[in-house]
Amino acid sequence: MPNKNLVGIFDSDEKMLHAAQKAKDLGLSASDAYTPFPIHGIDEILELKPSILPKVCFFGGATGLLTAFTLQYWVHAVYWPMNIGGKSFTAYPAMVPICFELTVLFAGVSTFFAFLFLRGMHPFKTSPFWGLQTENNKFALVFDLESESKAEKVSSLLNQEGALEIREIIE
Amino acid sequence: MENSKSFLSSAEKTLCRAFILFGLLALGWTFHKAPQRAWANLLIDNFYFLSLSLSAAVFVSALYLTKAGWATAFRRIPEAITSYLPYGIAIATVSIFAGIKSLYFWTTPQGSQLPGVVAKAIFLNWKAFVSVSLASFALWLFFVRKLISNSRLQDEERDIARTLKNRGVAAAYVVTFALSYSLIAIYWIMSLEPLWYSTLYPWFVFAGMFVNGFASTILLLLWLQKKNYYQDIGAAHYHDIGKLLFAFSIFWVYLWFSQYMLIWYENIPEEVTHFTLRSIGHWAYVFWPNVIMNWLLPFLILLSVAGKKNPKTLFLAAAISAIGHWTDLYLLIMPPLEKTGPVYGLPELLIFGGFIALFVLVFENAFRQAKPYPVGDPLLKESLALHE
Repeated sequence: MPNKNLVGIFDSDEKMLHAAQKAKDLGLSASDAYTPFPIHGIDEILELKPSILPKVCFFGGATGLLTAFTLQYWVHAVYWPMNIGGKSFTAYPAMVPICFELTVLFAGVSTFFAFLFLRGMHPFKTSPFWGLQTENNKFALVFDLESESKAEKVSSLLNQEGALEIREIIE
Repeated sequence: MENSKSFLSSAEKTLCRAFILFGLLALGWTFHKAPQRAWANLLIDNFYFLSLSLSAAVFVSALYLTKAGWATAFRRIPEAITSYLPYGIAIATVSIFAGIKSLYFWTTPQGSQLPGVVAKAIFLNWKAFVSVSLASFALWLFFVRKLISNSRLQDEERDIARTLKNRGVAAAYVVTFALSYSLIAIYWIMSLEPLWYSTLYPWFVFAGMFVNGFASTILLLLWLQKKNYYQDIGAAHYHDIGKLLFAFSIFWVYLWFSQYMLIWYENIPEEVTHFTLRSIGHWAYVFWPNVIMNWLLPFLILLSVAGKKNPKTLFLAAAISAIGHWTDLYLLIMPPLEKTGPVYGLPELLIFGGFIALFVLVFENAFRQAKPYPVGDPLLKESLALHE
């Protein structure tokens, strides 16, 4: 089902934060924001839920650690024991670098794909919010429109707060 | 903002003085019974607090160099920690001139004849040892005093010029510190085993001491908050300094393991001595808990955001790290002198207790001399408004 959004575009993070706070006070809560860099405090104003990415990262890393350990243990101690420099077959210090690397790799890759999945992004999709210069020097504040009366209030608020431009974007 | 009264009650001050007295008595008794053990304890404890004050200055410098605003509100804590520097230098000067012969085997007539020592004689001689130490002392005092006085003068002047000046001082201090502290770590600690060497060593010593800088700053911050200071510092600040403690405890174990694994893997007789001494026999009871205290426990406690933001868990991690880094120094310094196993008892506890009491009194005095907030710093407003 198409979803109508009203987007206010600002040229500074302070103006955008101020507009978001004002909208929250008036009960017209903004639903999302697109900015060139992370802005402290915006997630509290937008009342965004904490992301599950840290948990994905942790379990990805734990899987990597376990994979690296079992792989090395199975190869070196079970399947093909080899005497290397007179060390024991289960010489744990030698396993640590691989364990470290696979932990980082699994954690990084799983976080990356989980992020794409959670945001509904993939290489063949263009976001309707693309092209607003929010990756450059503009700050976009998104309002989810439920009714026409909200649209009027939102656009007058955005004008008051000094938005450069107001756009309607259908998701 | 008025800050001339002490945060210590007179009973607490008396307690500190009593601890210093006990420490001195224990030191005297140890000098009488086992002079080498006394010199080693003096080296461990004084190096611990000397490095703490230098690390605090590195932390302050890093804040200036990165133009960071988050920590400005409690920057007076690391600034006051640096006030131990002159005391540390005084104690170190006495220990160098009086204790060098009993601590360092290479300064004795038999030790200086060892082929490995003769080959390094251009570096490993007492004249170089003393002159490098004294030159480092002078440079540290100069830069750290400049850094702190600029920061304090800004309170009255309310001018950005002091911030800009301090950026220059900070850059010069960080470079000077890196070079001089590396040499000091090699001379004072690594040369306890004159035939063993590792290029990673100074870096490793620095990493441990820098972690302790963060841990002690956290402990003092939480303590001062109990005493009604810094009531406007909260979860956002805990989160940021907790991240630094977390990151640098990982950095410490990264260097620890890099050094350990290469030497363990090569298994070359002249290199492996450092670790066989510490990880085989009775010293192993200190060797493995050292890694658990300095890395594993802080890592698990601080891994989640909640662990960094909660003052109780943050306190726990910082306290474990602070004790852990004393243990780390103990493990670097004691084993070559006591090859059979750890010597640990009342002297170690009381002398360290005396040093803590001395440090607290020095810190309190310095903290009282300046306003608790750097009111003239342009970044203070940003720091107080810090949120997630």
